[in-house]
Amino acid sequence: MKKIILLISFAAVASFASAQNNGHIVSFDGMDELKIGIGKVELEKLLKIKIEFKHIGKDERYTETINATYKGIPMEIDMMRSDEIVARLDGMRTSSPLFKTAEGIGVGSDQQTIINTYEKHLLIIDKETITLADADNLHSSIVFWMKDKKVVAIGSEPTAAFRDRE
Amino acid sequence: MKKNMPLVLGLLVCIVLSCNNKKSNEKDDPPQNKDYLIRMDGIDSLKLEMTRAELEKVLNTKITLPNLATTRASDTISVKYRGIDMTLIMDGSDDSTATLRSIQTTHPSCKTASGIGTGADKIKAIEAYPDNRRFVGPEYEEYPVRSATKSVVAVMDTLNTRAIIFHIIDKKVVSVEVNSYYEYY
Repeated sequence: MKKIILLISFAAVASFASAQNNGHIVSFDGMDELKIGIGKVELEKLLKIKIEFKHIGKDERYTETINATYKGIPMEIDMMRSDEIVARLDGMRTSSPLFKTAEGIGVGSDQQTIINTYEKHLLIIDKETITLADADNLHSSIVFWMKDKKVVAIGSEPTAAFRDRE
Repeated sequence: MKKNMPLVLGLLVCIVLSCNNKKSNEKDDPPQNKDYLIRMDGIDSLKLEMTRAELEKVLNTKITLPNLATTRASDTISVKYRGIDMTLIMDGSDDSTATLRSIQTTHPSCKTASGIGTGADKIKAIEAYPDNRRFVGPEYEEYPVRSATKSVVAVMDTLNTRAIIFHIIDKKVVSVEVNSYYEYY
């Protein structure tokens, strides 16, 4: 019994350490394996859950946000109704410090670091968010939610300011 | 006294000449130590969406817009406003209906209410407007190549159409523009 407990403890510690070392990457096309545009079935496989919508397919609303965990990390996931595949992933965010951009920006980073790090990109700075738009495709973005000029959550989603622009 | 008369007269002539010279310079040179306020809707008495006639009155000069006489929808002109060089963009379908869409200046006397003008730090321009949407990004060196040194900080008004645009080189403001219809691309 003691051996089993020891093995389980070791596996848990190793898994946590691995997450710490590898981190999880936020990019313009998603967060880790969670990519913008993937369908409900693929998302269910990655999250290892069955998604039950309250609105999509049931009433007039065509977007819905679900709470889920991805590799043990709490996430908010936006789904959008799609004629071809019921619904597709339209955006996601987390307040976990385990998710960072490739440049190392994540929860705890400050506004000035973001401005200095992404001089070659477009930043849309609002009262509570900084949206980092992809220089090659302004429609994709990484969003930083800010409080007192510090990142408190990070996500990937289509650039809201450019949704209606071609 | 009679002996000093030529000297006194000479001094008087010098003073009068100096005053006249100062007056003629005042017309062209911007007054010293005077700031001109940059707002979302214009710079000092120059207001966005002014008609050509209104603009001519403020500038006290006749404006010609050769591009609008052809097929183009806008014309860029260089003018002096109270001795300050300004670049203006006029929009319209013809010369008579043209309105002012953009005003740009490099002059350090033109400043926002929070004191941001030519020479200010990029970060100060960004942080001076915490309640407004700001687009911060590189300018095109030559399309589609974005510049490594030139960038813009565009502070949008609440309707997201008008903007104060700080043009930046090496993290310093080099000119300020107000524009009645701004979109970052």
